[in-house]
Amino acid sequence: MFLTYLRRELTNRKKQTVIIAVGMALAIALVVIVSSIAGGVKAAQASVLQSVYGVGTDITVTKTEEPSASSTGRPSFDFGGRDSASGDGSTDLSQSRLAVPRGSGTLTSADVETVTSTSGVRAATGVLTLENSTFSGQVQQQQSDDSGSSDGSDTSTQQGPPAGGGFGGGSFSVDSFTVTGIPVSGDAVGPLTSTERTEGRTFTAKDAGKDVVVLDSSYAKSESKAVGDTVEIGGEDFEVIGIVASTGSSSTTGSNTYVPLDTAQRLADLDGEVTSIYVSAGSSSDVSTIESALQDQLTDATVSTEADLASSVSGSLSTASSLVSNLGTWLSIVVLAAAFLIAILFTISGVTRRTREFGTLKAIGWSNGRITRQVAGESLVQGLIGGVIGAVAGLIGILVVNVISPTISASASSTANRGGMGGGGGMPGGAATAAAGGGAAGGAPAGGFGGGASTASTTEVVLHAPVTVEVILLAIGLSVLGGLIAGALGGWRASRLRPAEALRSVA
Amino acid sequence: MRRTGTGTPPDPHTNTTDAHIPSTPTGGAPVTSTETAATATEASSASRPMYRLQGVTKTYRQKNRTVPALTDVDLTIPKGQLVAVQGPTGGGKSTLLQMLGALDRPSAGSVLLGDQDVAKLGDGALTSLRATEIGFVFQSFNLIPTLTALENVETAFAGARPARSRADVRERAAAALREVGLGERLDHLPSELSGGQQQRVAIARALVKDPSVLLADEPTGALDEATRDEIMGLIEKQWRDRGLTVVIVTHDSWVARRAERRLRIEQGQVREL
Repeated sequence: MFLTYLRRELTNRKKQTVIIAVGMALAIALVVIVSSIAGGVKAAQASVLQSVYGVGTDITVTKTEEPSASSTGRPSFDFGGRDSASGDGSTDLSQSRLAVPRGSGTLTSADVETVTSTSGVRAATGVLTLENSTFSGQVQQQQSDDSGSSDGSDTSTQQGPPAGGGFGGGSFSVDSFTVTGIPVSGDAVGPLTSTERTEGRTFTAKDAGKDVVVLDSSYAKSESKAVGDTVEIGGEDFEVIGIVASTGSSSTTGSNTYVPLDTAQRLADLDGEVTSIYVSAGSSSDVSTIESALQDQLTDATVSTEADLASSVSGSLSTASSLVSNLGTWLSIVVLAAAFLIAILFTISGVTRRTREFGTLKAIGWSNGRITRQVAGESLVQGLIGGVIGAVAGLIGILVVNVISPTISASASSTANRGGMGGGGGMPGGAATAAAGGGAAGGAPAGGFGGGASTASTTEVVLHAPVTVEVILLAIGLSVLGGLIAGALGGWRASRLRPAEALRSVA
Repeated sequence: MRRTGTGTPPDPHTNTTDAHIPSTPTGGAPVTSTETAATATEASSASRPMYRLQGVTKTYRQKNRTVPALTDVDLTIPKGQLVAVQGPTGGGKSTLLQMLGALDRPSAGSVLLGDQDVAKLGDGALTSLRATEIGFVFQSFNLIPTLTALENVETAFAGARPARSRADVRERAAAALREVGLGERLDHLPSELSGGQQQRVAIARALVKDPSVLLADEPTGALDEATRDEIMGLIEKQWRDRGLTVVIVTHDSWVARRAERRLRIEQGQVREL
């Protein structure tokens, strides 16, 4: 009788069934799509972070640059001794500079040891991230009393307005790329763990101290470099021994070039120093404990967990993430609440409309429990119908997202300080071109290039919305929950009807 | 002043008294005292009251005042009697029927159905009593609009103890509908049936579980004269064939005159007619 009655009610009261089911379906579809996209965004974030921090990095330790009175905070070039003046009155400039990016401080090898010996740490690797900037070009010699360049160019003089002038016809280019010094052996954690070798080889213990370099595949392609070619880093020629590509969805790895750590330290005159320590925890449950321990031991350092790192992802992926987590979640909650409310109101309204029916059933011997079960069953099935339709609609929505495959740009900095463009540069006016291999491009007319930007990984990530069992279960669970809540309230109301009153009220 | 329904009121049809009501009336003719006195056993069985109401009072609260519906009613209805209850609207007819049908409890007094006091039974016991002992027929039929005639009759078995098999339920429901002349309309929805046919379905639903009592609240109130006659004929036949105790609330004097016994209820008090 239960099923017959239920089936008859659902089919003969189509309007109510359709309204409740459609309301529930809309909500469930939205929840499914938002949940799936949230999963996709999370995976994309993880992928972007992986390209910077490698696989298995739970914590990073970095240090912010300590401001000093002598520091201008901007990269500077000294063109005085190495530039040559040509006969037409112009000066050829060419200089390479290898330094820790602006805003980044360094940690010592002792800090690495401290981290390694911390309880719960499975592995720790110190890396030195540097920025190689090359300025080359020709500058017209001019006579001027104004030497207002703030970047220390003492041979070239400015003829334009202080804020917008130029070199008066000179032509130069600024080339910048990232150099990451990594230990040549035993990398359990670090930037190269999220890469795969596409050409040549990676480092071996024998490469320690040598001028050898492994290139990011995108950078190698843009610079037309192959294994066996040479790349100038910090004024020295490095032999390309291998090329690596990201294993994630990112198009680039965390750095343009990788060199042996001791080589990088020698070139930058930073013996025994690193900019970041990548930490892998023995267990995910240990992460917060390790984080606290490291913060206690390395008071000047910045200790970041994976969650902190996720917040460092910027670009449209960050926008998508906040959109999903804020608007998407709240929209889902609101629509879900509205659907539940619709289901509850329609169920209660249905009970009110069926007062005589329930009064009659009680009069002929139906118990309160049987009537409650009947109402709850009808509501549950209406919810389930909505849930199934919603899940299907949600899957179609996910399919559409995956067919469109929206590309999202994302940028993640491997240092604690993610600098923007350097401001107030002193090289305006010329036909400047700038290339920043690893991050935000320079070249603003009035600016130089910022420090942190050179260590950031900007990449295009294809958003893939995954379909998981959890999402489907969530959809079914929510629809069942909605049906049960509506059914319980409707059933409760029906069971409260006293048969005499129900029959009398109709009469 | 108490009024009792256990006397020997004049009856236009049967001229019976409580002591001579048959337990299983048979045949189409009105039952006579001569026939019912045929066996002592039957007489003894018939003399056992189906209902015994003692000092029953029912009041309702409307806003801040108490409205009496029944006042200190004493009434005995012997087993197998066909009783008609008349009276003005708001006089307490329906309230009395609800007391008899275990749909409500009295504010004071006792309502004995057999040996069970409705006033003292819990909700579960009242439900069980309604499921097994009492059949209801309503003025507006009260069929479930989404269920077919057959399925409407099947609803009567929902509270049956022990539970019956689906096939048994279906067979009994179909037999009940055939008995009221609707064997060809089993799969029709109420909306596809005439008023008289719907009331037949309601009667089949009330009787399919073989109750001891049939309570009918204006069973012919929504029907034309010809259909009214059919329905009353059907109720009388079932009363005779099954030995039912039947209480009919009606405004229709024609219907009331066909009962063995007529009661009038006015301002919450019952008197014999």
